[in-house]
Amino acid sequence: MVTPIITFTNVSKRYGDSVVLSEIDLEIPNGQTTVIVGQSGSGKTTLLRMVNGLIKPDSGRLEVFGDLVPEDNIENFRRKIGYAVQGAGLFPHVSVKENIVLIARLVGWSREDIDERFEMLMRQMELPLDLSDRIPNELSGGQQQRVGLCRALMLKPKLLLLDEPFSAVDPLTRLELYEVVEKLISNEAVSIVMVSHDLGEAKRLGDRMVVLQNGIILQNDLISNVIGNPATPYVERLVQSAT
Amino acid sequence: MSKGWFKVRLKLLALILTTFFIFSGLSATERSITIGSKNFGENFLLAEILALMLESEGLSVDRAFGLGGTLICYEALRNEEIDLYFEYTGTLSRAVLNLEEVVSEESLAEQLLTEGLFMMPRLGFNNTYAIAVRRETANLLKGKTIGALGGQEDLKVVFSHEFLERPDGWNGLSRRYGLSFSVSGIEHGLAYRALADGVIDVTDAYSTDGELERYDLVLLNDSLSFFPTYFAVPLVRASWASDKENASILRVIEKLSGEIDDATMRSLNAQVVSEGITYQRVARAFVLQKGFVADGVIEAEKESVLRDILSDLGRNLIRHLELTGLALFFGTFFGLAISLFAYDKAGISKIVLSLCGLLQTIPSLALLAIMIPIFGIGFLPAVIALFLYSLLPIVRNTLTALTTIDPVLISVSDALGMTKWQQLRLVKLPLSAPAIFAGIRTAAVISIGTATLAAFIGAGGLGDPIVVGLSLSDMNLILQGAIPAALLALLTEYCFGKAESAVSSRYRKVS
Repeated sequence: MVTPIITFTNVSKRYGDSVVLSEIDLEIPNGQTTVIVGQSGSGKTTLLRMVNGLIKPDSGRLEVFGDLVPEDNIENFRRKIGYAVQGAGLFPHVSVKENIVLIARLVGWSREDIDERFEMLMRQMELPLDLSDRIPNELSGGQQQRVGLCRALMLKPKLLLLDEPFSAVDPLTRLELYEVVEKLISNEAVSIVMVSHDLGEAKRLGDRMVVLQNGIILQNDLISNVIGNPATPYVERLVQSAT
Repeated sequence: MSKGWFKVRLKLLALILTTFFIFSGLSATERSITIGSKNFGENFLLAEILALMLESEGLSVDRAFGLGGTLICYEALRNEEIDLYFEYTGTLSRAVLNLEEVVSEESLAEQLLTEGLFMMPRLGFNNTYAIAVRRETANLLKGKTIGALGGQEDLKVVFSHEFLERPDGWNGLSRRYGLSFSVSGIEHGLAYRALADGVIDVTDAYSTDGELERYDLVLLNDSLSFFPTYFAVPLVRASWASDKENASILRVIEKLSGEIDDATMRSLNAQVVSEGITYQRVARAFVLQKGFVADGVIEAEKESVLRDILSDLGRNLIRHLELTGLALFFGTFFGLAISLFAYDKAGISKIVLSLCGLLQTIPSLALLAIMIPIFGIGFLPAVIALFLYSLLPIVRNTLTALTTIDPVLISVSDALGMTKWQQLRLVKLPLSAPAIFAGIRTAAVISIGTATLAAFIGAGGLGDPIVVGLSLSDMNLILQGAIPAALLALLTEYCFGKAESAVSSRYRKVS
């Protein structure tokens, strides 16, 4: 197995009385695309948001890039991780370009570097440059989602977290988005952790799959193994529902 | 906030501060006396008469006329904001010292001394409550006394609301004279007209009201001495009176002693209310006629009324802008500071909001009155009161906006690696800007309206002509304040609307 980029050791999280994650042990390998699958309430988004420190574990140990998620100066740590969410979450008050390059400007990139990276990302996401000055509301849902991906990739992160980024768009747009993400996977040297409730999506984009149910990992394997050899009846039902 | 907007604000502040200092510098002359007056015609007249007499002696007089009532004048005097005003003995014993019994003037003067105040000899007239009837009604009544009303059950008896409530009003009066009428209430200002027109037959009056003369009304004799006396007296601070420097001033004031009897005061008042002569002109004619002032010593009548109105308007407008501008500036500054401090602490925001809400519930005039013992009268307490009023809309809008931003945007900006400060500056504040702006806009319009009340504590502004006009029932004067104030509010509303859309349209630009 490849060196892990993320390691969960005995990680638990609860909100009040409800246990969201229970003693999770999980290694996510570097350079691959791992899809976390599960129904809503399975704890998959919590798992993802722990990786960039948006949610803190109650107990256990979580290492990213070989180190514990830092308590102090977490901003620097987060800048090494891209993050894109369902519905894109673009800042409505600034332009497309501003949304994408804002963080690069804040960390002090030069104007030239910013423009070069911005144009490259726009090309890669197949977004015409004349959208640069538009505000997010003037864009289609699919375009917004691509801008969200550009923003997540701006600082050339080694790790990209995707929280159901394709679930708010129509099926045709989703297919287009799959294509750009596939291109991205082959062009950018980036490990991806993606949360999805769509097994078809997982099959198309992922290398590995982690199946969560009620805060417990049911199976963690290559996607072909999960499909060919489901670990539990629940996983089997999940697999069947997607075919 | 963009740099341009910041610059504009700086310039505005500089402008406001400079004018503020120029004005405060102007008012600090070396040797002067500040005369206050209550907000009704007779008190304006008395204050102006004395002011003219003192000016003719070469003294400079600051006129703080039209202060909002007994409490405000009294506190202003004690706090050395004014040096003198004309008070009434009955008011001093009943309303100020809260004495149950009617006391002699000597004993009243003694008790005032313990409060540090010196009551000077009375002017002569007694402006007491009285019962007024038309002359033909009076002729039907034996001895023209209040007691004679007893047998006249068919008379329509209507009193002012205040007279119906006060213990020294109808309750006491009917018991003293054994009268039983079914009485109803009327607005005092309408009563004279109603009486004159025969709509009602009997009402309460102030014995020196000018309307008595205007409508040829008769006051019934208070043969059982029910009503306390309300002799007008100049009231000063004891320390001020014992200052040798002021001896010459005291001598001038004493010239008025015993010089104005009931009939004289009534006729002076009547000239203002029924003949529409300004109180300044009536006062001038009086001091000349009495020989208190030699002809030619005091300034002649100004010729151009229009120029007067315009220069007054300009002065009042500038003062009004200073009042509201400063209040709004500090309201915005502290409102934002408080909100930024409190917005991410739920407990504290709640407390802050309730405190601001509480401030808003204090009636404006009461808040202004509360300011007097702390800050005196005039500009400063008015600005502070307006500042306190402007806090709520600004704080409420800012807190609400900052706490209701889409949580997705917050977690996305966290995840991007923005620091808390960057998040506030680049996401939270810009997204809240329209709401914050709307709050400032509301505060501005409220301030402009409320600032008209500041004239009651001598702060000037467009409220000045309104207050004087209300006291003198002079609609022209009232409109000279009310129309510009309303226009100013509309203009402010318009300008803020424009600025607001400019702020929102910044959302479309790229940097």
